[in-house]
Amino acid sequence: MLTIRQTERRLAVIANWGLFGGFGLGLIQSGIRSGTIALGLLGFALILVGFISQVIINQVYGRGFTPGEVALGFIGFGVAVLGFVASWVFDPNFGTAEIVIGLSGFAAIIAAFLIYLVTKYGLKGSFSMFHHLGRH
Amino acid sequence: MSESVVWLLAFVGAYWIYCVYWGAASAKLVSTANDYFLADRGISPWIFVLAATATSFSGWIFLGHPAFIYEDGFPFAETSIAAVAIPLTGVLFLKRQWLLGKRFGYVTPGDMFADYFGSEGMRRLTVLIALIFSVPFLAMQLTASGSLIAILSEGTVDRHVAMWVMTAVLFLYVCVGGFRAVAYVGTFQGLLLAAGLAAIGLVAYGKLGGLASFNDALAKLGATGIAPWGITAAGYNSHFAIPGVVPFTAGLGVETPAGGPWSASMILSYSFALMGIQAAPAFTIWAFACRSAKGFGIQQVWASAAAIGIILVFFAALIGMGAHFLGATPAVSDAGMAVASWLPAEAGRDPANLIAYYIAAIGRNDPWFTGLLAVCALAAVQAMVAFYASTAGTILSRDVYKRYLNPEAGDRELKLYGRVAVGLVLLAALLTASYLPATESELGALALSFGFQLWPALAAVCWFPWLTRQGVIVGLVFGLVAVVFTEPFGQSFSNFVGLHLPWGRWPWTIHSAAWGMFFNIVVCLIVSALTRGGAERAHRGRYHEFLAEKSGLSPERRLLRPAAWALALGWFFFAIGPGAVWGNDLFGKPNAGPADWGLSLPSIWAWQILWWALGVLMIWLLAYKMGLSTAPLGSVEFHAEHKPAPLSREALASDWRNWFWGVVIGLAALTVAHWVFGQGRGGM
Repeated sequence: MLTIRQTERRLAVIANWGLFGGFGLGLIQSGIRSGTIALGLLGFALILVGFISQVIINQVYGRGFTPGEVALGFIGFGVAVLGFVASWVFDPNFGTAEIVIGLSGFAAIIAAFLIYLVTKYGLKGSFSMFHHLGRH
Repeated sequence: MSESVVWLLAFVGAYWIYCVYWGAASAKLVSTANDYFLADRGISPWIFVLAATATSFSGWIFLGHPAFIYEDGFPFAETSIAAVAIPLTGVLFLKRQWLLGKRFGYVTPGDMFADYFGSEGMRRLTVLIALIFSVPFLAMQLTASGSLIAILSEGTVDRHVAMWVMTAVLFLYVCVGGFRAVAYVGTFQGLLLAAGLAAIGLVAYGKLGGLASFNDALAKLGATGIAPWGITAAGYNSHFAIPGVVPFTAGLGVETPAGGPWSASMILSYSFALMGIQAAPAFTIWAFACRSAKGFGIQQVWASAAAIGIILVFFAALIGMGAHFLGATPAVSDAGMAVASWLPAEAGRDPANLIAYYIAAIGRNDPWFTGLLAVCALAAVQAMVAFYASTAGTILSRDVYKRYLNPEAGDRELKLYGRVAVGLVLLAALLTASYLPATESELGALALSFGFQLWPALAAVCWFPWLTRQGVIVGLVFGLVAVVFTEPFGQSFSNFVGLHLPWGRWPWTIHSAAWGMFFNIVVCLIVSALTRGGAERAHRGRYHEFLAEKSGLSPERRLLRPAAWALALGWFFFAIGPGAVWGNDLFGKPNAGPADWGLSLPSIWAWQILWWALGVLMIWLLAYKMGLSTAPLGSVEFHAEHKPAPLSREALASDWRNWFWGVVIGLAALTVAHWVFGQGRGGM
């Protein structure tokens, strides 16, 4: 059973993503639907704010991302990238605005993730972590 | 079924799963009755900040505030500054109640008042106020949420069905998880409330074409007489000017005040009523449930005054006044002043549901947002419903069941009766909302004013030992009676017994909260002066010595005290009091247009922004610099749970007999009065 502290951390994480994830995905969807680059990028910006907020929550509660959160994050990101690539390849109406939104947004998320790894584990430590994971 | 409706149902479903999940997760942490009623006094500061903000502002801010601004214009928007006034009650009383709760182990406000005053009468009055606050107030919130879903689902879901299903889900998580579930779900609800209102405001801003375009539209409207209350005595459009300080009219329904009801006296007294939210018995339970006092200042200064204040002062004004230029007001559109034809004319004919029409309009292009924003609105409403249902259950279980019916009740029985009480309160609210709409609005109007009447009692417990038991109780009764007879419920009641009052609702455009408080304070002071001294004074002194030890000011800060209170009074005078009328044209005449507007905004709006900002500064000074919401001096140990001396069987039996015969005689007198004096009216 989770302790009260663990339960509260989970509450903070879910509320954080419920807010920033909900509004962020909505704005990305609206940006792509209407071809408004600013709106789509604002959506990605909210996703980044959600990520930064979770890092702060982790700091407050003195722990890192749980394995479940890491898995969910990678799966969500992977599905989104696959969907984007598939749309780019197969959807004839996928225009320049959508491509700009998607590429900029995904690049920003990757950059934020790398910055997080480097600040938390250091340049060498981050690389070693992937190297270590790859050997298993 | 349109795409918007599909998204709506999907989001509402996901939100309900979230609520039930946290109900179940909280249930795992519940073992004792204190776990269930007070989350074992362990609510974290950040959870308190978000959830208490949600329960303080809730659905009436989300759905009601912009709608009233649409109807009554910037004079009503002056009450946006109540985002500072509402937490001021908390600044004055919350930390001290928390200290008393820790020290003496109180669970309900009834425990605290009965112990401090040594009076079971105070406990009963607190239960009465809690119930009057809860049932009709909840009914009003449920009605609003039912209408919202009915409009957004384009009639697919009936208003009543939506209301009953939503309440069933709410009952499930409150009943299972208790107060911890209410607080946990409340955190997300607080975030959704703020984000949803800000998002709708930003959309309105975009649709209006930015601030310059909005200002041009306001200038054109200001130069006309298009407003429900016409032109004020000063010759300004009543949407842009407070009509006076105290119009001595007989009250709404009897005499219509020129220029509208939102005079300075009305704004001030309505703000008093809103201050009743944090004086209500339910809010005391927040104080008792908190683990530490760390969250109090953050909630009062930054979450309420600053964050919700900015949302109300800017975004609610954009939503409410902007609706005129987005197609909701045919007269404005016909005069060629509309910026866009985006909202339907129904929004103007049914202003109470203005937010629902906004969400529906947003959903036309972005169906996803219909669901998301509807959940924001529902979350805002449910935050308050869950909180008041839960606390009413606690109060009924502890102050009625355990105190009078089964003093030997253990944890298991208390939790069971707490759950049954939550169900009964919600059922009563639902039945009122479904079948008694007139009663709902009449009784609902009493709620905030009743809550505000507890101010002298709280002031006695937290600050003034010279206010006596007799003074507070008699004052409270007079206050409650004055509230009743300056609201429609009192009018209906007096008509029933054939007594036709010469005044209407809110005579002299002074809200019932202020009428009640006037009689409450006058009577309280007189009776306290007549009954001062004695053993009771020494008994009360014990509590104040403890409070002085734990929350007293350091000697250097004591010098600041007069300046701080002078500043607070000055703020009240200019922000929401008589001085607010200077804001009508201090920064330019409302009908002269942007060229004459000193701050490039209508003068009254600029005044509101200025005094909101100063209000944040003022409440920060009180909360932090004056130490009213900071951590206490030294450690505060929690003592055993409060166990009042049991009532003797004879006293209980005599009490029941008195109550029974009191009710019988009261009803008989009412029936006779109606039969003798009220017949004529029925035949007319």
